[in-house]
Amino acid sequence: MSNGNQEVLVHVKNMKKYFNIRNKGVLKAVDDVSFDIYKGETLGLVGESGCGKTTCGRTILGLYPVTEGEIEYEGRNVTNFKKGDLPWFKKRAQMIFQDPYASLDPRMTVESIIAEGMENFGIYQKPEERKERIYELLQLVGLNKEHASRFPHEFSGGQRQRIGIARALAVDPEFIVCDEPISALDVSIQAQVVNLLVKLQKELGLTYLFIAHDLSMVKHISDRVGVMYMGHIVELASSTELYANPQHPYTKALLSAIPIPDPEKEKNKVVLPLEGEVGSPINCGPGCRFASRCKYATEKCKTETPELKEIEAGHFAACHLFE
Amino acid sequence: MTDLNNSMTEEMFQGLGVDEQSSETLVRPSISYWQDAVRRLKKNKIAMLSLFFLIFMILMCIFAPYIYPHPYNEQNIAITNQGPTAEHIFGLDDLGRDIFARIWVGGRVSLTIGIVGALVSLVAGTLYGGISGFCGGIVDDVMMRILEIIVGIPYMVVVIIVSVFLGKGMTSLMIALCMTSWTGLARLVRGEIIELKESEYVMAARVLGTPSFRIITKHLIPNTLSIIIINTTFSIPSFIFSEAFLSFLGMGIQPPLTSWGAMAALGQQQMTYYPHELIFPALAISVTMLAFNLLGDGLRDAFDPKLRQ
Amino acid sequence: MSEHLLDIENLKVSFHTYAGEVQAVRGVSLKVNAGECIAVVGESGSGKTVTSKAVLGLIAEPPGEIKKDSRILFEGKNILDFTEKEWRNFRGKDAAMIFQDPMTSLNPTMKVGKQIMESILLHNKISKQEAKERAIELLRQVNIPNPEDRLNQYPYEFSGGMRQRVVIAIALACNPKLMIADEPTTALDVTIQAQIMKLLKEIQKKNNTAVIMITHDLGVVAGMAEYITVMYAGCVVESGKVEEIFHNPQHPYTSALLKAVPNMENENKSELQIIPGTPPDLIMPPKGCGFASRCRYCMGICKEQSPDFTHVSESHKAACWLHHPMAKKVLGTEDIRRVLENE
Repeated sequence: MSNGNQEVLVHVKNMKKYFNIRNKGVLKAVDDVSFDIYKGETLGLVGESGCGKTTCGRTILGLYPVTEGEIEYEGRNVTNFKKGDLPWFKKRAQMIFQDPYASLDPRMTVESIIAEGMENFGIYQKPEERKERIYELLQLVGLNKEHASRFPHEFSGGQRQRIGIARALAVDPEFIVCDEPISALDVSIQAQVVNLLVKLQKELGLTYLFIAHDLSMVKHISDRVGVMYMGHIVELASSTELYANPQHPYTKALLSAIPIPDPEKEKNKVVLPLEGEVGSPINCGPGCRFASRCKYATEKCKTETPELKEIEAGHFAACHLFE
Repeated sequence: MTDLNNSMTEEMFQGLGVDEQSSETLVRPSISYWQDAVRRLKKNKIAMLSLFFLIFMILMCIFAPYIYPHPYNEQNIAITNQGPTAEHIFGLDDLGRDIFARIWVGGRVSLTIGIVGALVSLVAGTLYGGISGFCGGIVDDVMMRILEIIVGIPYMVVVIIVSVFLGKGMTSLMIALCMTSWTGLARLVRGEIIELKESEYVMAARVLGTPSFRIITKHLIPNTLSIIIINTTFSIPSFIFSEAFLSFLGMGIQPPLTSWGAMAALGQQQMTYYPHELIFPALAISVTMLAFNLLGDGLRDAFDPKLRQ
Repeated sequence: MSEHLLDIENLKVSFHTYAGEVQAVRGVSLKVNAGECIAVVGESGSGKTVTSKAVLGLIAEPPGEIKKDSRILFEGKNILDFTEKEWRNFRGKDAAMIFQDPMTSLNPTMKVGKQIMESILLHNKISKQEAKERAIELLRQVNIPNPEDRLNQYPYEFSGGMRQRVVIAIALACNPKLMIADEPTTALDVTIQAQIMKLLKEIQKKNNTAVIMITHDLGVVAGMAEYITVMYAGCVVESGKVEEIFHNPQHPYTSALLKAVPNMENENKSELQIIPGTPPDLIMPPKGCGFASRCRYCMGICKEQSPDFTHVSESHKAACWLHHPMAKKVLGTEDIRRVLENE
């Protein structure tokens, strides 16, 4: 897997997203994150809840204004866009949401939910054409046209998530941010949705930013994976490399915690103890944020923030151990 | 089991393969949110009874004065304070006026104030709260501070000030009540809008490039409508009561026009000897308020998504 | 006569809705011995949560309805005949439940210590001081550091994992004989999940508490449960020892469920084995096998009649027509093995 000659689709440079919390200070949800997403690939982003992965995805799509840094899409700067850029970018970049129960407006029919994006961009002016396309999209995600006149609450979680996918596809996007699209679904349905996403990627040449906390699914779907911890990317590598050869102490602990669906292996498995909990991201000072839970932590870790460095070809890690 | 085994043929054990679409079929009848709410409301007997009672009251207020032989301002000095008879169904008051006729004319005033007041505060409260919640930031801060100041002024003071300029009567009463009553709904709508603004489907609409105006009309308003309706239903009785209360104190409707509150005030002076002059207007006020409250309860149960299955 | 701690027999639960009667649980039988950990696995809507709620008498009637011929025996007594008072005694003291979402299962306006002490004082006649000591001991047992200080804090001062520990402490307050954990780790991160599962295992071993783990993820229970019961569309489709279920699944649904989890050794983006379609709506439960419409090898008989259990071994049984002698005649043993292993 060499990405050297691949075209960069999304370029994120030193992106920061801070939230001001009244009377408490600043929550550094995403703190100085840089990465590239190549055309046609899937970049996985994993981490525990509160690590900033969802904020990262939403900030890239312009749902939150960027505090500092730059986002480029196809070489065009789309940071806090000016008026004219907005529709251009929105038509190309879409999102699939986490909670299939909250992401569909309960008062709208499936048809009008899918049609919303088409109306905004004036795709398919004629009602018959639009209807035809909606049926096509429903078929593409494994539903049928009888479902078009139904309301979201009549569907199961997996079916709703597929409606959400059809909605995103309605404007023919190139890039989709998948924000934990499977974490609210049953195991048997997760595989359905993941297979569908892979199939769509192959057929339509989509690029994904796949955000999740389920490491095994992320490995399955991603070409490269970034691990986030409290607003920083601590490790970034191709998915086979990352899972076979994790370098950062946090990644190692995270991987060892994955349950193995095999009773003997699971009983004899060694879980690397990860003591304590994720700290508070409000008003945190310098230093490696994992230091308080890391058994290799030294004085340096507490005072100096490690930078993301290439330790092997295509394998980046942010840890003082590798200096 | 044996006879069952005999009836089984090898044919029944041939594989059929999967028909993927068959398991996706929805067997429940399609039902929209509003249909579901109406269905739940219809099942609630008390709420339906209240609804029919209120419709009856409104129809009576509109038509009874045309049908009933005694006009509300006709005086029959000879038989003042007479109790209920076949001729005068609810009896007469101390000036010899027919109470039955006056109940419906007074009801016009009371119900008009209740319904118009509730509608005005609905529009004002929804707009104010909606703008404040949707814009957020400084706009929200300023609008909320203004609202807090308005909440701080007691409505008695407003009534007095308005009636100084416009004179006592229905218009000034209505203006004063409307000026102070929309704040509760505004706060409610603002809270709801702020919550909805962060919901994933509104976010999805923003990702899809839906302009703000369409987000408001297509997503935010339909989803706040139910709480607005419930709140408005609950606010009608409080308007009716405020009117009755102010008229009772002599600050509201002036004679010869009357309202339920004004009638109760007159009846209260005669209470010891002629209780019917107090009982009928008081009944009209309390039963109507009760009916609105029960209907509001029914609506809340019908609309509340948490109670839905 | 009953040597089991809990013996559910032919449990049927329905809910009445606008569209008709939803048969959420359609004849479930389940046995739990003292000190044993069993897992109930199934997807949402399979009736696993309803079953566990029925055991604790938490089904509201109406809209719910527990059918007349259902029986739940706890130490030989049919708990479905309990009065409200007996239920209150039973809950907490004999059986306790751990809910899925630790964010909503604690009272946010009450100090954590008070919430634990409340359930201790409800079932034991001891002084407040003793109850407090017991609460501290419980918090220590669930590995919460500085329990003396933590006692006086409110739930919002705890993180998700810590809250779930508090919920477990409350469940343990009266040393129940049976603990039902309804997806205790679904709302938690993977590292916290590992911690909580380890804790539950320790508690089960130390206190000899029987545990019913309810989950939709087979992977989570592999290291914890001794027996597994797989539910689908309101029925039990397979049950057996954990090794039997994982290594020798005898129902197409179980084997498909096992294959649906991506293996760490899997090729990237290779197609996952999936179970197509959506589970049936139990408002109109299928006449035959509940899984028929999604099964890779559905036969004519599957749509007509629901299959009986076939005992594969003493502890292992499965309900599938493929185990019928006639199926062997038509298909041959080798084909049946291939279908069951989902190859």
